[in-house]
Amino acid sequence: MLPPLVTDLLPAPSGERTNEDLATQVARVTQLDHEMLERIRHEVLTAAVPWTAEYGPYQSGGWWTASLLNESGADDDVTIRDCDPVATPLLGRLPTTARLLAGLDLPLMWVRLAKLTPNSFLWEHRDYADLRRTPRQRLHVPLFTNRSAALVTGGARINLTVGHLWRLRPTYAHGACNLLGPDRLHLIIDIYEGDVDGGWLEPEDIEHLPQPTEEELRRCLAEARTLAELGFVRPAEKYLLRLFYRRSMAEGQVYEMIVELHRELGRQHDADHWSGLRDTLLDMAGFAAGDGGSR
Amino acid sequence: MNVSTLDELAHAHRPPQFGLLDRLVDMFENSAAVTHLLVRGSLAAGNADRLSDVDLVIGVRGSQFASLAAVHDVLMQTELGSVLPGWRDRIVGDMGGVGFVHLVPWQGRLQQVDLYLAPSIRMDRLQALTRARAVLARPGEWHEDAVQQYEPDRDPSTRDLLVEVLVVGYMIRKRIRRDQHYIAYAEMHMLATAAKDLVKAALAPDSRFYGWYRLDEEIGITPLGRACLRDLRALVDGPALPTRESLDRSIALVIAIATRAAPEAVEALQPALDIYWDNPVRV
Repeated sequence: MLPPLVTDLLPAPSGERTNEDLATQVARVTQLDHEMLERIRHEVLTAAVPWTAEYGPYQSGGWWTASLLNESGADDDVTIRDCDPVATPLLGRLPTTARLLAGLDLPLMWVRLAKLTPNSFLWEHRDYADLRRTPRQRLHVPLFTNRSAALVTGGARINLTVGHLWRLRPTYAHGACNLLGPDRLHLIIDIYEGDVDGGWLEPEDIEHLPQPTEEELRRCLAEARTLAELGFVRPAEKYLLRLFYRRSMAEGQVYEMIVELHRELGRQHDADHWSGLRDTLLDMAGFAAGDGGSR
Repeated sequence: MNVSTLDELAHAHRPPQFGLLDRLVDMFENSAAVTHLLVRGSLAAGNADRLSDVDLVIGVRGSQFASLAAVHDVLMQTELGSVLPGWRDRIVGDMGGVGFVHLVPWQGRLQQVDLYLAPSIRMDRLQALTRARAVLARPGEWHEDAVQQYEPDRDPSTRDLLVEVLVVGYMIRKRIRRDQHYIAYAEMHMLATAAKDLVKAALAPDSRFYGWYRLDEEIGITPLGRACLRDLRALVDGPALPTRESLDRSIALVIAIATRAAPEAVEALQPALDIYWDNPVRV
């Protein structure tokens, strides 16, 4: 039998989420001018970007960012927070990008370039947990991507294709992956709530992930246990975390499986660590207080 | 220019496979189940170039051999992002263990990683046989039938055979680049045989006939079978000594066969197929 924590969290068999449901979480907002986008792609790819690693617990390694607009004006200040942003030196070297941002005419909070390298993941999480409870949204301008790169939310993989401005409500649990590369490169614009509601998803944007079966979850947990027993503890954890990108998992289920793995192996300290990490990454305190999805 | 500057230059310009080798060594030496790590091939001999594969022998405690062999694929995929399941290597000689070939994206290209897993008790003999360089050597243990306990007792699935075609196709591409005509010829035959086996595994899993015998009578009795055999015939009609173009055509034919006869295998490998054809990572 599966451990109770795993079986309890099997997603209830239900009809597929509609595209309209998903579009409240992530959607195309508008098509971008092709020539301007090509100039932005060129200037970003040819600029010397001072990439900085941050948000360690949220990622597998391979998530790199550089700020264009932020509180301090330093390129490598990439931990977002509420502010009245100023331009960094990097933005000064990206004039077309600066024109795009000015032309948006939105209340900008923080703007970054973000790179996700091959075989890299942002684990399932909610954003804005440490910020004041003010409505805000996140806009994505995909600059370079590939078919193995996706945003996962609501049990679906969404391929954020190049050519559109995309809106994301990152207060819904979500993750991002770049399985096989090459690098995925996005311009990420956090804004205080503006007129960026609406939007749509094309059918080809969405891949509904299959529900995991009990047998499959049992096999994955057994394989993770074998890895851990052989001394590959971190790979075992990553193997379970990566289930989020292949199957429609219940919220937090992959973390529960890691907790269960460590309990089975008598590693209570690690089990407690992952239990706490789940609460942090999924902002359980804020969500329990009823803020989830509205911030 | 002083010696240390030259060393720095040599280090900076070493083939990228050394970085991948470092990563593999770091990963495997963390496991107490692993007793030996031996580097074989051109990386050990000092004549590696940018087409060289990473060739690593892994000595495993006998009692844990079957476990490591069973999950090494998950490990390679999780830690190194190998794009396909490991192909059970049928080219490497029998050295008392099991070999796998993985394709791993590394610094913008697909790199070939040959892993040979063997019980630690065989390591001394294996090292003498291959003249491999040891980067890790710890005491091992005897365990009877360690390898036999792992051996999966089943015929290759359509997915296994499609993986074989893709991996062997990758290897042939390197042979062509290196003008290794005879090996390219041999491996091209291997690719065609895997394509035939794929057709049989999908459309005649209970075949009563050996090898290439009676395909028309057994497979070609339906429109689906005849369509697959037309593609197989086109594949074997290609040049025995492949060119890059003929190789691409051959692999496209196999994918067309698999899409028709074993769509679930193609679907399972779809992201890998995308990257396999993606120019920046090709050989």
